[in-house]
Amino acid sequence: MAMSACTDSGSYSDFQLEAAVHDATLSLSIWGTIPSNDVGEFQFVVDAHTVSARFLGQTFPVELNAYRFPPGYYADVDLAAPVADGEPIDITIERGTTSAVMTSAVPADFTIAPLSAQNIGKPVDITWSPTSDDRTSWASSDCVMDESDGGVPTDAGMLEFPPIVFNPDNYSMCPDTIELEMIRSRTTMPDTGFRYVTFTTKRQHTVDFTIAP
Amino acid sequence: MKKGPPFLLLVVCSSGCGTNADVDLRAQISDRGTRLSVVVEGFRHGAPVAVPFDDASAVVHVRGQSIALVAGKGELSADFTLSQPAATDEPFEVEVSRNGETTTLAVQAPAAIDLLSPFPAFVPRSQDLMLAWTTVTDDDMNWRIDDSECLVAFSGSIDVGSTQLTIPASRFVGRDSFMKPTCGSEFYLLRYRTTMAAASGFAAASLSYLREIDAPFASTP
Repeated sequence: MAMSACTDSGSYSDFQLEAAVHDATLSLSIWGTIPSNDVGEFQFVVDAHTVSARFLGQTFPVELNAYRFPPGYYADVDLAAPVADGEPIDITIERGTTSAVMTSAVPADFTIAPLSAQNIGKPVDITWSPTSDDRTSWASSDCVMDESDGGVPTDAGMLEFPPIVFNPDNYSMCPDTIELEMIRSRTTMPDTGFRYVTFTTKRQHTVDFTIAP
Repeated sequence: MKKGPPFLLLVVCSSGCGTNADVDLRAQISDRGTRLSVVVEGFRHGAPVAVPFDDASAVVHVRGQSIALVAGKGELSADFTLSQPAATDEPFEVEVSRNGETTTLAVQAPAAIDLLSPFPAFVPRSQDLMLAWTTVTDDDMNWRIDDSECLVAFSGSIDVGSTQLTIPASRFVGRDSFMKPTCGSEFYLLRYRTTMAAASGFAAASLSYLREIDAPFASTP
């Protein structure tokens, strides 16, 4: 049997898998790298034979999209039913002579309390429940594309944003809605025939609010 | 007397077979609460022993359990979870076998880092950051903050026996061209101790136990 070159072998591939349940949508992002020489350069994996996912009893292909960055395998799936806490998701990757089915679980769902209109110069308080040991983070953007994000060291079910986070300078010219996304995630590193794999699953919810002068 | 046919025995050692005497063996246990990982590596003249780490094998012993390390990427490693966090001075052993020799490395876990108050979710770059903890130990401690979209990575050490850390605002350097004035970053606080094997076939053999707190936060202007 002929031996393929090292970079053709799946065992030299690193993959990052992400499955995010955002309200009623499942978004999958799968991308990988392979070393291209000894000084640490890499190239993106765009030649996997099979990338598919199994979730809520259904199997669906995950298509290559070479125009996104990073080039990788992506899918968005509308979910007809709520996703239970800990719902398992399998992702199958075949590349070269290596094949693996990697399994993780979706973090527990949470509910964010509605946010009323906020005031410039005042902290913005957000609360959610239940709390979790999974990693919690947030991301926001406003109408002038001023983006920010951060992690939550300890999930206490509440977070007080200091006024400087939602830049007050923007509101006079742009008093539109601010989108605040709360993310609960967990990352595992499954043992596979590939060199290195991280598998992150997420729950995400978005709340909108305004800040009044 | 009849002589046998001459022959040449050629042995190719890609990564130094037959001896441990020129290998510096380094093992480390990393502790993040109840999640622990163990890594064993070998170094020859400062360079990692080639992949894979020869024919070495290793086992970690804790609480009457033995967990085998898995070979790969120039190291032996294992991840495992304890039902309860390691107690102060709880014993751990890592047994490494290579080239017919077995070296047992032992270390006792340093005290956990008990912050007096939770790490803040928002850390202004314009203000000093102060942290304090209760337990005083003789173990080494250091800290670091990761590189992120709005903050340049930096790190420092902590005086032995100290129970507080002040990171002056001047150490928080924002990125000149950052797009996000507020961005996610990660703070790590570490306490560790290292023991050297008294007698070993290796040039040197050490086992470190590293307690680590990692706190995601948002760096703000």
